[in-house]
Amino acid sequence: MSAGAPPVVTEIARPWWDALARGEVAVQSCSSCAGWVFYPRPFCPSCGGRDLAWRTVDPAATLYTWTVAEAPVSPHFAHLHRPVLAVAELGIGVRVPTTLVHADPDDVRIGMALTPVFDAGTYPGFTLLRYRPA
Amino acid sequence: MDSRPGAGDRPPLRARLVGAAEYPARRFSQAPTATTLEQAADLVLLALADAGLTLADLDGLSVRGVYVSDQFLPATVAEYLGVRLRFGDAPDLGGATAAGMVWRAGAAIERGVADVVVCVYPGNYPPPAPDGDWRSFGASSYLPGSPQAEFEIPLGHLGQNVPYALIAQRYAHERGYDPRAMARLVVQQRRNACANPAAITFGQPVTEDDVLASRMIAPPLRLLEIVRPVRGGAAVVLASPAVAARTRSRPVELAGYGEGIATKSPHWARDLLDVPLREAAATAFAMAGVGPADVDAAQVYDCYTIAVLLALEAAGFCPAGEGMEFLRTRGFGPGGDFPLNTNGGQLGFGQAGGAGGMTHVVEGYRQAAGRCGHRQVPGCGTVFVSGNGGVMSEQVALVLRAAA
Ligand SMILES: [Zn+2]
Repeated sequence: MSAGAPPVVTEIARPWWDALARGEVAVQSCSSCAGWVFYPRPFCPSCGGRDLAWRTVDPAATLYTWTVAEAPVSPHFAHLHRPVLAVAELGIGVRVPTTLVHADPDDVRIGMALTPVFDAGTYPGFTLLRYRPA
Repeated sequence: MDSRPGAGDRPPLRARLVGAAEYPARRFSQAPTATTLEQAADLVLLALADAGLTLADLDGLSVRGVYVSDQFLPATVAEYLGVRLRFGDAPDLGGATAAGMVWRAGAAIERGVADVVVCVYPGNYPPPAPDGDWRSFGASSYLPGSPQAEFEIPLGHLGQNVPYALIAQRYAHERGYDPRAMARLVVQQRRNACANPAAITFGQPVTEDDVLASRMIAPPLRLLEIVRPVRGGAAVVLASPAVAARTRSRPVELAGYGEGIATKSPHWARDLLDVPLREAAATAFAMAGVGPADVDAAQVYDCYTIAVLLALEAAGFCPAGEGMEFLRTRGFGPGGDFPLNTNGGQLGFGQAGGAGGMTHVVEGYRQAAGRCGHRQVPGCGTVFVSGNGGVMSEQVALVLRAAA
């Protein structure tokens, strides 16, 4: 069993991955309703608008929810010891599935401030957006 | 003019549930070796016989869990049974599939498309996928183009335990959490299972301390708060009122039904606690002309304790945020003030794959039909049944009522 599972990238989301590789976070913005769109799509699920533009945003986040995989989520991730799985909420309101690194589960609290960690070491050719307590 | 059955001054022509069959839960090592196609046919025949009907009466099939093919399931089973059908279906609603089968079959009967439909789900699991195969991630899709394959699975967000735990943690933050209340739910359902010899935990009651001492899987969820996979399988028979009049047992009216679908993964829900069972139950209750307070028993899909908690709130059995108090104070046995998952639910019976949802339908039917023997809820006229697919993704509500 190979470790992990690299992202299966779609063309529409390429700017997300390119931004992460630069150490930035970019999210689509809708010109019709000014809403933010994530994950990437060719349209805005809030208003149906199709005029979207990628914008670099502040990657700082707060913790929306979290847990610890005390039992492996699948054989692909069995090599990880108690990974802290989380959903981070960016300042713009967009939420991203992520993991917390350098976090003691006993100290994790919903609403806590998070600092981005650009992880280029897990999957060759990809940078993942992880977080650590601020 | 509104031509819906029951609308205006037309009398309701609701389909009836008239029979059921259910295999006892089995450990994997003790499961029958029959193919899932053989089991589907066997369950159809058993359910028809339970209703006092025969294959000659059958003109509709709703079928899932037959792993001899990825497609053409209704025709595959029809051919095997040697019948010609007027209605075939294979809904894709995860754990809500069984309840979804029932209302679709009922709607087909109400419109005169078919007269007798069997909904059948052999309770096995698909064969294990080889390493590297996209199916090796189970219910999470690693196929190209899947948002899960791009934004969830690479970070380890997959399976069921973690997503349900993410919801439970958020619930704790917004509405408060009481592990002992959740444990009490498990204790009561396991007690109910001790009145059901078909349950995998028959004869194995647990205490609140047992639950709280069981292994942490994904905080706050512990092992005994999570269903245990078993082998099984079940089927129910629906019929038109005219056919129901000549069946063996007291028919049960499919009085109301509704469905709600939102996000495949809870990560993308705007509000993790506002689950689509809210719309499903509201539709079902309105159709049946009753409310949550009129229910004599509830069979609530219980893959996890948190799923039950959210379902009780979403369906309106208690206000949002008061679910823990509900779990702390109500009695869930057949003689309690809120009979809940009277066969043990899946937490007590075991989860026979996708047939797990059928467990709730079968028990709901049997309770409303007065066929539950020593675990019968006295005077049980109206039963609520829910289904839950994915991670609060696809949800169905049924209201069953003893037919006049
Ligand atoms: Zn928009």
